[in-house]
Amino acid sequence: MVRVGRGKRRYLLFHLTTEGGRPEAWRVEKAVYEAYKKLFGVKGLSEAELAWISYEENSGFGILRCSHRAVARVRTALTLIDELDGRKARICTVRVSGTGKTLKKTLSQMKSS
Amino acid sequence: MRRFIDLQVHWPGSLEEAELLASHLRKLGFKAVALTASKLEEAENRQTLKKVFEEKGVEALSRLNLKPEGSRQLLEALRACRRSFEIVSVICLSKQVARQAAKDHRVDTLLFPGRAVRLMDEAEVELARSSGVAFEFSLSMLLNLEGRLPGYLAEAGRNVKRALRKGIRLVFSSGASNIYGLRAPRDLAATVETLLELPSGFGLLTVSKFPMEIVERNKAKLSRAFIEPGVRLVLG
Repeated sequence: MVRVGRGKRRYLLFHLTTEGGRPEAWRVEKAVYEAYKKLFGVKGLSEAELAWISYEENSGFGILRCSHRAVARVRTALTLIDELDGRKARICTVRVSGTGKTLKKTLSQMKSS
Repeated sequence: MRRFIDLQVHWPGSLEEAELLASHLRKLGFKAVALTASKLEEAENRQTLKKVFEEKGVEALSRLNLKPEGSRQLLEALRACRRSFEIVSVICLSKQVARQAAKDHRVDTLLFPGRAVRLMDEAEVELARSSGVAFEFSLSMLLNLEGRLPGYLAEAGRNVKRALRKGIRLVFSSGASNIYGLRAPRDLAATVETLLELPSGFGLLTVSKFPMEIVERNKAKLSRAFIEPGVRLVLG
């Protein structure tokens, strides 16, 4: 069931790979928002309904939420991030899902395997 | 099932680097990769490298990127190297080179870095269509543009639309020089689709079907059974 007043949402599980140690969560979050804003502007950012759900510094896995119409745009913004905190970096989308619960399950499965 | 290929990854400098690249490519979901050399000598250790990639479950192909200064230099390089590589691409920096490369059926893809994107005009599209040459963009090329990216995308977007109407194939690759330059195939597809405003679902073809077709065609051409286009020796 979708609540009246908001559209469908998608959750993206991503993985960060960096040269050397992993940066703090707030730096990653800032880089993602900045990359999206640089590409699609403030209006695009508001339309994407981008939300930072979680990020684990130890594993480099994180979850983002966005409008279902903005998935490709979010993927593009993540792809164009090539540097974080002055170090070479890569952010790849691992999986996209309609619920955060599925992604959390995927994440725990990936960690255990 | 879709088979993803990264058509441009720099030639690894050592076996350790090759192993690392192979395991990352496998994790990201690629089935094949084209290792790119800029000259013939760079690709001497190709058999060893191919084995390393094979062990990780990734098929490694050899690719040569030519950056000729004139059409004569291009023709000489093609004559000398074509049969040594599975993929041959030309980086077009001048009109003379771009036209010669587009009409030569030995060339697989054309790259137009920076201001050279203006060379992807109607005449270029017509020549490429008749010879079956594909247009290629790489992520590293786009990232290197930095401030010039908006202008490049505007010009490239217009030219790509024209090319697609004429049935030219489009290929998108990472152009990675290390593991940080690699991206997941679906991320690459989403990027090219968003930046060049391609029809929905087309991005996936640029990292799977189109480059795979080029690879299969060239493998057949390089096999001993190949006589000429349309004629193949059937071994009994």
